[in-house]
Amino acid sequence: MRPWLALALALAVFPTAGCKRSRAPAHSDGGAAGQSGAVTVRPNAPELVQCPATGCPLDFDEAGPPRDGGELVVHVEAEPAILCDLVEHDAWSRWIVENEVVETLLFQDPWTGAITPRLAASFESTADALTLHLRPSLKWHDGAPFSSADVAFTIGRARDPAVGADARSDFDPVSAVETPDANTVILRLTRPAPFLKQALAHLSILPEHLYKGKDLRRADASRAPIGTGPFKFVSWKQNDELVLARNPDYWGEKAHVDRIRFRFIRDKEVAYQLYRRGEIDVLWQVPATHFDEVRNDPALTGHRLLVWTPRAYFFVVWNSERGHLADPRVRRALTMLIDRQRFDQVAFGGHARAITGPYAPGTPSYDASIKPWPFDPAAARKLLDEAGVKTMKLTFLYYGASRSAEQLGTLMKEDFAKAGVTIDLASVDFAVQLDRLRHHAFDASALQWTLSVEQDNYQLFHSSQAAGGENFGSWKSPAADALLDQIRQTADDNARHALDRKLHALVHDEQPYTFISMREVETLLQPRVHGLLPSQDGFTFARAWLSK
Amino acid sequence: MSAWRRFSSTPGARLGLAILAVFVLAAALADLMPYGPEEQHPGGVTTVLAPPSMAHWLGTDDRGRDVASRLVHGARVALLVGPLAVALYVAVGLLIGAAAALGRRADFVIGRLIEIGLLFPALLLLLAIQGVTSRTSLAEVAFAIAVTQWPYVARLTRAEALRVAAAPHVEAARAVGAGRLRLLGVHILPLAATPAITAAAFGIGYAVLFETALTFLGFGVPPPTASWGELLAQAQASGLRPWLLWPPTFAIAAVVLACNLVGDGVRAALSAPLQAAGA
Amino acid sequence: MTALARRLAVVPLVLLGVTLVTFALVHALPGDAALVQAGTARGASPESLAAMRAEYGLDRSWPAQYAAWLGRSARLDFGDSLVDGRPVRAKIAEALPTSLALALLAAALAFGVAVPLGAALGWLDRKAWARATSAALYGIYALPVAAVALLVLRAGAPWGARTLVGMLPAAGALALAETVKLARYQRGALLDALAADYVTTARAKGLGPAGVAVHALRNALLPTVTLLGSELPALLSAAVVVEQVFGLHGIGMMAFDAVMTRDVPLLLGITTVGALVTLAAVLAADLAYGLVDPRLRGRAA
Repeated sequence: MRPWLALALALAVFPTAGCKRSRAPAHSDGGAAGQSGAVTVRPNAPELVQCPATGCPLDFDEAGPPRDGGELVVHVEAEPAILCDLVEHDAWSRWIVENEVVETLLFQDPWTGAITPRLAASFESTADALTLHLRPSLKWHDGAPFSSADVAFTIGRARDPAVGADARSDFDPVSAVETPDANTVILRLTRPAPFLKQALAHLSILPEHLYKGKDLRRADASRAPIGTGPFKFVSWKQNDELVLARNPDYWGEKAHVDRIRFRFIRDKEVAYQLYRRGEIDVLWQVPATHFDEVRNDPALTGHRLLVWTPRAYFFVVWNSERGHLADPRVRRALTMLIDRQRFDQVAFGGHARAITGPYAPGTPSYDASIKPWPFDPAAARKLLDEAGVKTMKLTFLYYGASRSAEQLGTLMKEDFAKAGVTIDLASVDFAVQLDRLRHHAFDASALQWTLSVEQDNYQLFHSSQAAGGENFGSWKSPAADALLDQIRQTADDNARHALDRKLHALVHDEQPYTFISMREVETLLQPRVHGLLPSQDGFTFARAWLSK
Repeated sequence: MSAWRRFSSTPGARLGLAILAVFVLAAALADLMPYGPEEQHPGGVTTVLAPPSMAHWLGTDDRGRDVASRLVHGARVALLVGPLAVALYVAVGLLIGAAAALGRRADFVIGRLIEIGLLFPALLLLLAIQGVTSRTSLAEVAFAIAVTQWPYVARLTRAEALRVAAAPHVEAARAVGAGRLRLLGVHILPLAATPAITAAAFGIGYAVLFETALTFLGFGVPPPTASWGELLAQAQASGLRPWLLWPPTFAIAAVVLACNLVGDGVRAALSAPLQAAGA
Repeated sequence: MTALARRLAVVPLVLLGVTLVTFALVHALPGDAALVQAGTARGASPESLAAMRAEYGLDRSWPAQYAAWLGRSARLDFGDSLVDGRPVRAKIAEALPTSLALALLAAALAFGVAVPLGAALGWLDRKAWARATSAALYGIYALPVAAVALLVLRAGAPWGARTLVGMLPAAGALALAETVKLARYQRGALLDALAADYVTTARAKGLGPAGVAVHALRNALLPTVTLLGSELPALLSAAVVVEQVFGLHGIGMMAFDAVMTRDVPLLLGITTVGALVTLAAVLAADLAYGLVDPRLRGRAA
């Protein structure tokens, strides 16, 4: 049964105090099949929108036609260091500027994955080329004309190994970038490039005239970005706030709010207090300790509480080259010794979803029939015996300031001891953890990955990526290698998704990672905020508006 | 009057000792608590962050562990790290500071030593140790505290020592021919120790609070060790839940109070030589 | 050369020592700025890391790097921050005034309250309620700064304040523990002074209680003045937590971040500036001795 239908039925069966309305699926930007969440309006509590795994409804609400004007204040926890997403790697801090000031050639619906035009008005895919037709007569915020030269320049920088852009390997199949005229870009392909369009949907185009010959990190444009988007950059005071203003000359549907102020507040608890004081309009992560009380707080009546799950998973990576950890049975046993449900309860108040593989649940790449290995210390002990392990000593490496990593560690310590496995908890700072991961100097470590709509797992699991890549656990599996190589060559979506599911099954069998969970996030919006929906790729700021 | 009589006749000094004795006893008998401090499933069922109830008198923490148990066990960490750190830095600070009274040149060198001590990047040192060993043990935390605090004690002692050295009775002793070391040990040090004693009295409280900050940053005592600092860190992370915030606060307050009361007594015990020598 | 000049002449040596130790320690830590910036992102490759290291000068030998830094800093050019390429000088200039203002406010509050409070408690020590108040103060001391800060914030204090008045709650939170400690010191010092023989003599000479009080207090102020020299730097570094909770952007948090991101030029810059401020504070306190106790005037250096 489709998830949203089940949810709607469930809510219909269990009455809640106050009236509730279920929204029908609506049209989304991507023209996809549509999704919905259930919206529950209650008299003495905030309006609750429970988004299913497939995503938040992009079109619900709103009391009346959008009103122009006003200033929206948004809380941001992690401040970017540089406003250029080719060199700013922190996914959580990039979205301030990406999609708002600078734009991508294509747009990808964060939930369905559907690709639609943006700066490229249309595109054609053939076996050996991707042709993009840019919108004509577009201008950068400083008045200079936007053209294919900017696209070629940006892709060139993205491919430069010295720059280290995340998108670099997505352009491996591209042999040449041609710009026959100012509005056409042709990417010549040496082989099928299934992830190319997705990559282009996340590659912000840079203005060549401001970056040519300059270092990406130091150019002025990386501190005061110039783009083509619905918002213009106004100012950035570090450790304080970043201000954007509406672009009245935007080529597409104009934004409604006049200004957006992103306030950088590291402490989630402080941000929460400021939200309650009305100094912030959008609190995109309610601290986990307040999750439940916020749902029923009468003081928040009229506010909107969105409950959704970012595409990110928390996991333990095992060093598959060390001693007993090389044996998949041992790894499977260790997985069965981790009480993931209890961890969810402790770390996230139970607000988390299970995940069994490196793909986004609810997408065709994810094999929903695979169930997580159960928490079963007895079975784990048997497996360990089978593998010839009497006792084992492991060091669990984690970033000391991460509360959830520490909670996982102490939980593992207690449960593992029951099966004769001793764990030492090694709390280190981030730089040390990175260093140890990249040099494979660890037994087990806790990490979190974010997922693309369709994740390219090559860098995570291919054996070639163990030295210098993201395959920190040095997992080497010929079967996985074959699948990963094939996935990269398969242009047909259905065929590729089938391969993804095969990889999912393999990874589940061999447990190079123990997948823990995907945490749920609660986003709070003040009553005057409308049209704003979250996703980890960004919020719909261009569609947001403020009532009086 | 003997030193002990002077000590015990100071109001509160005996009360202070008694309070400390209670804590020491509690720490020693901590294992008698109904739940273990690290049990995340005490009695099989647990609620996380539960307020005080009949089953858990001080509630549970963010992992369902019994707070009362962690409080009592935490006394062990406080009573180990605190006195260790304090002993280290008071001893070092006292000796170095008082040595400034040995002469002009000594004073110059000591003054610069203290300056360097004040500037020393202790957080970096702590991180370096942790980066290499991947954990911070109680000894390392105590060491970090000592490294940061000794210059303050030294400065206070130095100022007092210089002042006392200029006092008439010391001049008198010098005139009579007392050697510099004897002057230092008998006449100057006991009096110059006053601020150091106060520092020591606050030291244990400070040690726990320092440990709280470290735990909050992720560099505190190795988990899952129970410590008052860890309870406080949890309090901060959970929006100041009262049963996590107030018990360790009162515990620290009680310990610091006790230490200060005892400190008053110690000061009384030491100050008598002044009466004897001066009058 | 006067004593003061001799003392000032040593300052560059002290700075050299401290920056050298800082430099050595930060390089002894695993991980470097390039690694931290690359994070766990997919884009990092041995080439990109090498390119970053070359750009930051991290591929040279340690002595070469330190020597280069020394050369630049002699011209007061601390280089560029590795994290965002902005000049270190500019970043410090932005943050330092806030930290200084916060620390000075906190020190003023602490002394302003602690000295009279401590003196009163010492003077009235025989009264039971004075002792009880003394004892109750410990409850306040025992609260961790972050908890106090959060409580104050919850009570409605402004966040991200820019003015001195706006910073008062933050300074208050920072000063609270300090006040209790100073009050104790002051009380203890006064009690000692009162028991000293010169007071007995003064009393015998017929000096009234006020006269005795002033006399004793002057001597009892010494430890308090001493603390002025060392507590200011202590407040500067303890301010990290308060800075974070109240959204004030001072060098405390900046220094902490610099260590976490292995931003060597920024860290060395902050160390140098912080050291200069500390040394200045210590010097000022030592000079103040001379004011409080004339016998110690010559000892200022």
